[in-house]
Amino acid sequence: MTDWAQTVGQIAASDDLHIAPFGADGATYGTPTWIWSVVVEGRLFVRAWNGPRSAWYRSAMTQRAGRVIAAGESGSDPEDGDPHLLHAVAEPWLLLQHLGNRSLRSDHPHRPLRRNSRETGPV
Amino acid sequence: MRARRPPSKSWADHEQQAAVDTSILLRFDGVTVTGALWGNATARSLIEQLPLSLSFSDYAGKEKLARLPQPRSLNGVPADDDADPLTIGYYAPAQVLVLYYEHVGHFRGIVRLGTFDDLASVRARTGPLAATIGLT
Repeated sequence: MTDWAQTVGQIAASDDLHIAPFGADGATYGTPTWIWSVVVEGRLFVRAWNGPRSAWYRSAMTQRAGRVIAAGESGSDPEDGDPHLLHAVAEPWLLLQHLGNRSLRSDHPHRPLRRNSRETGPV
Repeated sequence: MRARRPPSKSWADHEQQAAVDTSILLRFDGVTVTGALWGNATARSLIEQLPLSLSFSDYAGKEKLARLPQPRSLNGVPADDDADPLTIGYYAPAQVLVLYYEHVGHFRGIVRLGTFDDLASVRARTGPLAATIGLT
């Protein structure tokens, strides 16, 4: 299993994904935001909970790159957290193309894929 | 989302270390904002570098941030913290100095350095913000 596949599995298990899109300079980023996510067939999709006008979504669509942080908000020390999950902190990511494959169906009853869902993957 | 965690056990020590404030001035666009930096190791390592000219930009409608030329010391500070509006902070993973004007929650990598006194002036700037930070 690849590192990214492991990270996606951890995100799916924890429902704890934060993203920090790069700022206007394409490199700087600030405090990450918890984000809606769903994993379908090993692929990670994210969506703006508050719609495409939300600040993170607009930044993400402009820069199309940033950082994903799994379990980063826990603030756990490695002794009392899952070290494998903590290792997933600050993975670089790219927003991939718009969801075009309409045959994909989320098996999560409350998390359907929508038009503004975006697939996320490693750099 | 996970419930907010309380500050780490080392926070009391951190607070004691931060007993001595250093007054600062933040200047931009003809505006002068007063503030204070605390005595923790991260703040001290920033104070040693003052005055600094930095280019801030807005991030996510919650904070203004500027990348620092070098990483700051993290000796003795909590690994995670919570930043309220009017907090001057350091977000260690990105090596940025942050002026928080909205609450961003508890997060690994946030280090509180001090406070600034004028929320409206900082929040109102929407574009790039060239600022200097110096001692009073």
